[in-house]
Amino acid sequence: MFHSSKLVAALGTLVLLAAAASAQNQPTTYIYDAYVDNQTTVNTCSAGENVNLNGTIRFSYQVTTDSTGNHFVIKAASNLTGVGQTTGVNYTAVESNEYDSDTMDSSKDMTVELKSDLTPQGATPSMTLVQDLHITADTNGSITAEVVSNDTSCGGAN
Amino acid sequence: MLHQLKIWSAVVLIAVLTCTPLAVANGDPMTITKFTQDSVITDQHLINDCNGEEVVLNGTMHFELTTGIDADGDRTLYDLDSTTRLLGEGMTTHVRYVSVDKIHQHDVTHGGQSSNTRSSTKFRLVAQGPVPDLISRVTMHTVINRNGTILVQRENEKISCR
Repeated sequence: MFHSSKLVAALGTLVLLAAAASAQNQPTTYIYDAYVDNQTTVNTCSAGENVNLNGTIRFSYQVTTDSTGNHFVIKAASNLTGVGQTTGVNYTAVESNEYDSDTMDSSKDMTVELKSDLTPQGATPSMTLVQDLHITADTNGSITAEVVSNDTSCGGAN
Repeated sequence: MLHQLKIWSAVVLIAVLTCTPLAVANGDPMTITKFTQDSVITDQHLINDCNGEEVVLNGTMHFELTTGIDADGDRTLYDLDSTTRLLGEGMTTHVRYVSVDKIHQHDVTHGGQSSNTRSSTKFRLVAQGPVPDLISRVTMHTVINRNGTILVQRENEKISCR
């Protein structure tokens, strides 16, 4: 399925090249913050309510090149809060995942999933927020990223 | 070392469902092909980091792959939906765990290259009884060829109760 629907991801600014290669042969780390601005997911596991999400997803990546091609290492770290639109319950989601790709291409275009516990305040996490992230990056340090969907999963109950 | 256990999924079935010339995004005519594939996870032994108990996992992985190849064969899209169904059992407590987990990934390559990616992810093994659920953290190494062959290696899998 090719995702055509895109929830609005307020794209953040391309921040900087972090870690200014203190060691000369260390690959540069490029950082990009995508802002999640009032995106909605549905708690399908218990309350059945819409949850408005806000926060950031920080993307950082490195690319190295050798005789076998280019090796992209992309990390996504979310720091989100949510508010249930029916109950007013506050939720949090904090997670980081890594996505690697080995390719001869000088750019990478991939859509991946970031799964995090969507935890209601004061409760044990039992629900997973599943975000599809569309990421493009190249060997020159350019990166774009956006959240294309927000869904929830209930683990073994699904 | 159990945590470094690497299991290549055994290919049980590959079925080419359709092969349809289509025009898709940005006017680039593409040939779309759909594949399904099933594999089995057998007796994967892991240690629950929380209490040291050995947990054995068995299950299946079902893949639904869509490839798109443009007219000159330069650009290839790989769109993969995988469903992992696992049953686990604690070897000491005999508590049983159940998990159904779905992953979607989409990759674009050029020059006829395969898709070669690794994604870290986690999924929940729901306990069948009044004990904590387990969380599995695993890196999925996925290699997909243009002919629809899918190889998935579960790397560095760890389970814990948090």
